[in-house]
Amino acid sequence: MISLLSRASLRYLSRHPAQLVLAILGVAVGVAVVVGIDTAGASARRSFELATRALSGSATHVVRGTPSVPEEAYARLALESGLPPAAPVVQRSLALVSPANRTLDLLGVDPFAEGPFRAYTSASEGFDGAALLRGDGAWLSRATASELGAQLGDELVFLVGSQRRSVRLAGLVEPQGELASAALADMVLVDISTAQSLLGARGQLTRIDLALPENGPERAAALARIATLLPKGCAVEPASRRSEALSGMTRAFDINLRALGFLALLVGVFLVYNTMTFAVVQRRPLWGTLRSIGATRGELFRLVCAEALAIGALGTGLGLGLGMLLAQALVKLVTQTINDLYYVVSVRELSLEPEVFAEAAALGIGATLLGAMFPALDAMRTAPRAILDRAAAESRLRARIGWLALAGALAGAASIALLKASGQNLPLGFAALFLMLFAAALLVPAATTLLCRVVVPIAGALAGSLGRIATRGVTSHLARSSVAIAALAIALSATAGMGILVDSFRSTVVRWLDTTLVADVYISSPSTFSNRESAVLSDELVARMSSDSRVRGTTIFCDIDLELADGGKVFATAAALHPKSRDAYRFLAGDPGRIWPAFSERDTLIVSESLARHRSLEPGSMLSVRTANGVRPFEVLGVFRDYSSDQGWAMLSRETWLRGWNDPRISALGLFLEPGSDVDAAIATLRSAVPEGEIVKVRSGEELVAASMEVFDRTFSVTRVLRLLAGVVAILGVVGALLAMELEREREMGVLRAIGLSPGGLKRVVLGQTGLLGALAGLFAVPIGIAVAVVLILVINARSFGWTLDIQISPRVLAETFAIAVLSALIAGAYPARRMARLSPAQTLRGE
Amino acid sequence: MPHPSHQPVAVLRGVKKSYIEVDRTREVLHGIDLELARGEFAVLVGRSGSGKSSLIHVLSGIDMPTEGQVLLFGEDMSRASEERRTDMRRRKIGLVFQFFNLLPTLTIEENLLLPLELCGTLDAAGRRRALDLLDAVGLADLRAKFPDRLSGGEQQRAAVARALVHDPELVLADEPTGNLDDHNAHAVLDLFTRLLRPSGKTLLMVTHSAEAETIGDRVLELHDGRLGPRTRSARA
Repeated sequence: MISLLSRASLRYLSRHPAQLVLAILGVAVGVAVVVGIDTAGASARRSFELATRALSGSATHVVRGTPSVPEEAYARLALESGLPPAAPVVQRSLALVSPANRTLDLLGVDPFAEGPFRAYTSASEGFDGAALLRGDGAWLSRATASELGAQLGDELVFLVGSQRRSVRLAGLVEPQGELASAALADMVLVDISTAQSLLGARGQLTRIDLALPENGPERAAALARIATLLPKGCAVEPASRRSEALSGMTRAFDINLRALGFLALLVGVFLVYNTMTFAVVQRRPLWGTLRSIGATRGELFRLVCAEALAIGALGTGLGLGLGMLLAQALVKLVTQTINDLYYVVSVRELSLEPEVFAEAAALGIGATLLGAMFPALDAMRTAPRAILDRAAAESRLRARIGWLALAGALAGAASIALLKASGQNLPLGFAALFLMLFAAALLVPAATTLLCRVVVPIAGALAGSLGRIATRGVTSHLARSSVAIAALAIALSATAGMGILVDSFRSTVVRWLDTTLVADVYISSPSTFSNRESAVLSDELVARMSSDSRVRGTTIFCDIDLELADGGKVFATAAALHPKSRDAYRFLAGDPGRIWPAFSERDTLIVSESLARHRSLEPGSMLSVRTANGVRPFEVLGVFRDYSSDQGWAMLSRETWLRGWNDPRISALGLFLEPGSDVDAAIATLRSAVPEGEIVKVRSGEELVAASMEVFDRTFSVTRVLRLLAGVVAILGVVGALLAMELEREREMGVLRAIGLSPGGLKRVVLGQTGLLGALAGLFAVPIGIAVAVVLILVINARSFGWTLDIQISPRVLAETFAIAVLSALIAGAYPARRMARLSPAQTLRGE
Repeated sequence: MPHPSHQPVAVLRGVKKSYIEVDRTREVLHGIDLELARGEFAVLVGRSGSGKSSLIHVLSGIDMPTEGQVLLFGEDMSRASEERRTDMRRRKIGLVFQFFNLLPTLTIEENLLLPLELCGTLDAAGRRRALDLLDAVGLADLRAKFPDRLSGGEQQRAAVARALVHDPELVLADEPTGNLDDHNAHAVLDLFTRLLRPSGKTLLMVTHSAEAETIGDRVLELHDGRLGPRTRSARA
């Protein structure tokens, strides 16, 4: 049977349904944002892991070559008796252009060698290895074919380099089980020779998969025998290394996504705390009365905790549901970014990670309990008469303001010390950031009191007594108002910090692109990844473009992968740079006067800032690179500014590349025109000179900047959505807080009405007060947001991405933050203002 | 048409007031007829829940009668708009409550200036009048304090001063001594007599206090929502 105490609590909540709903909603939205971000990130990671595991199958090791493995290497391994099973593989991400636009993974295999490796072929209904061998047929999973709208017999047209190539859809398979489904999602399966002919790589393999025995002498012996059979430039490496390298690529992006999740968590905790504090604080008279009639402190404390637990559980449940909906929307943005910048991943279903649920439950229920516990403990510890006296609660807070400010200053100092001490440790960096926000929250009561000392006389001069009533209401209800102001300020400072980070990043990149893209015209093939030119321009095209009468000089690029002796891989560009292009490089370390003369002559390279940071490189460092002639030491000459890749990349001269690899490919071309040439007219002529059947992009420097910024903006669309969400969360949180605060002042407002204040005047008082709360929160959010941005840019970003960004504090972001604060507070104040103005003064005074 | 000075300040004709509760309608005033003459001190007594506060609320215009007519200074308030009723309170009515109801965010002096500001008469003369009143109620030294720094008696004296600062014709006091000890109750009643009598103001005071009854020109009793002759039981 429900005790009378519980009944009193339940009835209170049922008679205040709006506040109950707001409390549950406050918890739910906080939980939803965290669940949404974490689930979207986890789902993308899980899909990648599944796809990688499924594609490498049970291979323990792989043979890789520089840049590819000759087919003879497989023949030698296959013919040698007593060696473990081996399977040749050709794999590449390709852009499908018909019947739909989509990036697919082309996997060329030998069906007879596949057995011990990839179980998904046998785990899929309808798969016919023999049919795969017959001619140009390609196989898709039924789900992928249906998404593409492809029927059996249809042509699948791919863009290979700058050419269109096609295969016929010969069969559909029905994958059974999660692994097989993940493997075959967005994958087109072909015979190895079909893959080679499609890619124009006759006799070349991407890798050879090996299934070696368990660790031990047998494995060592097998590895030794295989090594003797491989041609120069090929080596065996553990199969896991490539997937580790790939997942390592997105580490920084992942960390930032998690950082956003943590920021959302922090905002969520504040809002839940805020919501519950109000729910408890506004019932102080009830607690006082119950204590007066004999309820013990323990009984009331348990009652509050049970109530918080119920609200927390309901909010968490709702938040989990909302979070999954949010994740579905966010996962598209997250995979878009990964596909733009890193690798092809397709998320078919959301991955429900137990730790995300645990985190959500800890946030929803934990923060709710925490939020309720402190005010409950405070109320329980106080004598019944004093509980009934709200002024006593305010007096206690006023007495503690100095101590709170001191604690805030100490926490701020501790956060700075932690930032300095954290070195490269990102979790400690985040801990310092959160400590800083906590410090700011502790300083809010003192800062509010100080600012109101300035605001009250101004409001009084402008709006008389009503102005004073509105403004002094903030300090006279400091116990409530400071929590609401702090919650709103923290939520908005997180969004402002993100906004400043994106703005700083954007302006730095725009400036960098403007100084770097100095050629008049750029020619490249459509590539799978926006920051890598993976395709190749035909010799004919290069010859035609370079021989145009207006072309005065060229810069030639070839994007390549450098295999390092330690098994790692570094993106690189082999370039023959025009002097103007050379001048555009800004070196952070190294002397250009020494760099350029040495650049072409010996085995040297220059590295981007990110690569230098990730691999601790500086001028004079040596990198052991696997060339076609074996492993050779390359000297790092300098470190240049670059924002095109967070993994970083190296540049070596085209002469060095040709010496070491003898590969004359060209993937992009920069043309410098004669002075005074009409760039648009030249582009039109060059476009018409593109050989038949070849697809290339001929763009001006400006167009390339615009295209790069489009990718940039798409990359940060997740951040923008999260900023928006944080704003919504802040508004929802503050609505509850202000509503409760204003409703508590009903009687005071009733008196004002009784002595002659009109309903319109009352509305203005309420809105003036909530507007001031918002303005204070906005004012505090600005410096806190700048501090958040500085930490994000100088510490978190520098450590995770390795970029130096020029901090750009845009007045627009600051004005937006302030405006959102005031606007959300006014929106929050609109209901109580309307309600107060409509309320009969007699009704509010009848309480006497 | 009677001369304004002879016109009753307030007239209630057949005033009824009902409140809608969860499962029923409760009538608290059952057809009240009352006239308050200019300069009259009327005292209203009655048991708790007899409708005294409701009568004050209807008379002041902060609540509307369910039926009947409320004439204030010859004007029918039962048909007046919210704005008109608010304006009437601003200019011609002063209200005193049992629980003082001073604005906690304004100093004592500012609490007094507020009605003047609402009337649009906050000028040098108004400020002087507020200071004089504070002096008259013995709070001149405390004028810069906030209400929570004052005792109950001091707060009620400030509330009386606030009710009078805009020079209202009619003062409505709802148990002004109900929350005070004898000494402070006496001081507040003394204020009413000192400040209202000489200027010919009208007072309707709801009270349970025997002393308060003594300052009235007549004592009315409200019994279960009906106005009737004073009986001994009303003080219970």
